[in-house]
Amino acid sequence: MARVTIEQLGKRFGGETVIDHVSLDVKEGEFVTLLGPSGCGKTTTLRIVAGFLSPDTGCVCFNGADVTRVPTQKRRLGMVFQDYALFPHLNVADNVGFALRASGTPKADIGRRVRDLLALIRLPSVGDRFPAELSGGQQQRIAIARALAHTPAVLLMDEPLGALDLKLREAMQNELHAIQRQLGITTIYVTHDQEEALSLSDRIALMRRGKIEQLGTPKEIYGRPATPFSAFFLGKINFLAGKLQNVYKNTYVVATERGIVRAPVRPDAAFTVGDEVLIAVRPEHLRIANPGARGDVSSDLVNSLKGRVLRQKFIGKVLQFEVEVTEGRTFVIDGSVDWVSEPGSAIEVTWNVAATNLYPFAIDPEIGVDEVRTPQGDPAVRASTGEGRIVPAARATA
Amino acid sequence: MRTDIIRRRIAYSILLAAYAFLISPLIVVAAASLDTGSTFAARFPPLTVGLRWYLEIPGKYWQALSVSLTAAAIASVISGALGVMAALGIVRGKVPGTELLRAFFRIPLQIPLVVTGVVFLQFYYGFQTLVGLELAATLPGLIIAYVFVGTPYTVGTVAALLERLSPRLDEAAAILGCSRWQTFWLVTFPIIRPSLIAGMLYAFVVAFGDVPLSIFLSSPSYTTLPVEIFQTLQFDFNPTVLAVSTLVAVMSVISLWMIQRLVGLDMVPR
Repeated sequence: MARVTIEQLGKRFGGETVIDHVSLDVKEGEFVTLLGPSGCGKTTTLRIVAGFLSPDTGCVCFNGADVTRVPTQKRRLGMVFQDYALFPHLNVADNVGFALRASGTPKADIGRRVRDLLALIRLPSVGDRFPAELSGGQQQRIAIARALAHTPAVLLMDEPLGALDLKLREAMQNELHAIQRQLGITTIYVTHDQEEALSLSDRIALMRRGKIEQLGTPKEIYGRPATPFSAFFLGKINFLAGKLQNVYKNTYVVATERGIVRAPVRPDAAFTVGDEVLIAVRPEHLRIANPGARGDVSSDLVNSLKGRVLRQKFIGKVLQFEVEVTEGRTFVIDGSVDWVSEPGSAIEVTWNVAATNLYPFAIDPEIGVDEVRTPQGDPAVRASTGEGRIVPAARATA
Repeated sequence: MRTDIIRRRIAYSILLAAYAFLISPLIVVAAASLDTGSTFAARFPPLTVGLRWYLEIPGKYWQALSVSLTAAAIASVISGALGVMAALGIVRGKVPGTELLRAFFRIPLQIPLVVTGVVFLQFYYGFQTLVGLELAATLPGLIIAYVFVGTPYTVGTVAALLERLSPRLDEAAAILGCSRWQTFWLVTFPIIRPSLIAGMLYAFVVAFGDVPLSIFLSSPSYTTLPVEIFQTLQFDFNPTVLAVSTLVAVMSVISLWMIQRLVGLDMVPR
């Protein structure tokens, strides 16, 4: 087992910065996931740790020893690839025992180790079959066994479940988790699948544009996303632009086009009155109320916005409502199946002030915060090009 | 049901006709070689059957056959080695202009063999006057020329396979502790072997059956079997040439069958 330290890693391809000063410390036995959209640099980072690429700047250390210039074959790694990369000309037993054969381990020892590993992945009787004769899930389990045969110090996984279908992926997630816990092997896992990252990882390094956007446990990142992108990438999020009007009793008061929204003051994010802000709230925190049903919607603890149900979508365990809260801007609400709100009906969307997050407003089309549509042609607000989805609060209301 | 049967019969007939068309010249030669009577022309169908001409095959054919086999075999092995290296470079190499290199390795196929023959002959003469080493009508001279025309085949078959191979295999081998050299011998080579052998076989067949190139690079005392047969047919026909041709054809079929059984020519990596 080893501790992996990545320091100030940088890599450019053809003038384009792929990763930009990435630092990460993976503790012994820890399962860390590099999560992010394609092109965020997660795979490049992993390939540098594997030794397939050498970084332009920075270094990779295993247990404090710099291995940046050590060739791959001397790094004592195990790796699982998305396309399995099993050797087509060798049967399963020879695939699993490959590392041991390459290092000249006696035949009897190889045989014993291969049997143990095939038992570990619960495929004890496929030793003489060839990879092409096995299903995708089986092949990936063989690939995991092969990666573990030489008791590597670090296990690297590059989207290992990406080629499997949904059901199989879930089963393999559990299996991976169990194997990793059982062996306690330091693991760096790359994926773009947020659910996989949430359910498997001890910590997640959420990456974007070659940088680590947020590093933390799944609960931390999901519950307290540090940036709008973090909020957007892990789970679902609703955004609404506004302008900070007041700070009152540990609560920010934000003016939006449809009224006042409150958000708790948190120590890690400070705003001053007049700031353009982005309100973020998760679908599962939202509730639907009939207008006038509660006299109390202006309470200090609950936010409320008027809206109109656009459509409802049954997605299994929840009924998802799309509610238009301002023109062109919809909120997604995870509701229960017994809520009755016909499309077109006017409702109120309510949620706890504590569940509200605030971020500085910045245009970011990738996460649905795009070009601004100005209600009153305020010169300070950019003019719309195309379909704007975020409408910041009209200045007149401030 | 009836139309099905008819369709199948038609398909079979077409297949048989195609085979007959391809094999019939061979049958004619083989049958004529068994005729023991005629001495001045091939006679088909044979009137008498015997192995007379097989027993009377002159020594010069055997000698020419051994020249052909040696030169073609050595050339195909060299072509194989060069082909693997070139294919690895073209497919895996991080050098600019691999497309150009690929075209470059196809050039020998695009030059008419007669032209190649003239070029090699002139080159060997020039080489001899400059360095004093005689290459025309020698084994090394033939081998060099055969390697020239054979390498495009090995490059082609090996590169075609390498292209379909996941580059992750090499990375997986490195992760599992293999040096580049070990990776080649434990992973790459076993996987490309069938296509390499297929390419080497092409190279061998091209060299072994070649007349237009070899005719320039042989002399009356040092010649290859196809050239010898060609000369015989042109200048003094003798039925033994039919016997030799038949023997070569039979040997080719047997050796192809054996290679197919031993390594499999159409085996692709799974």
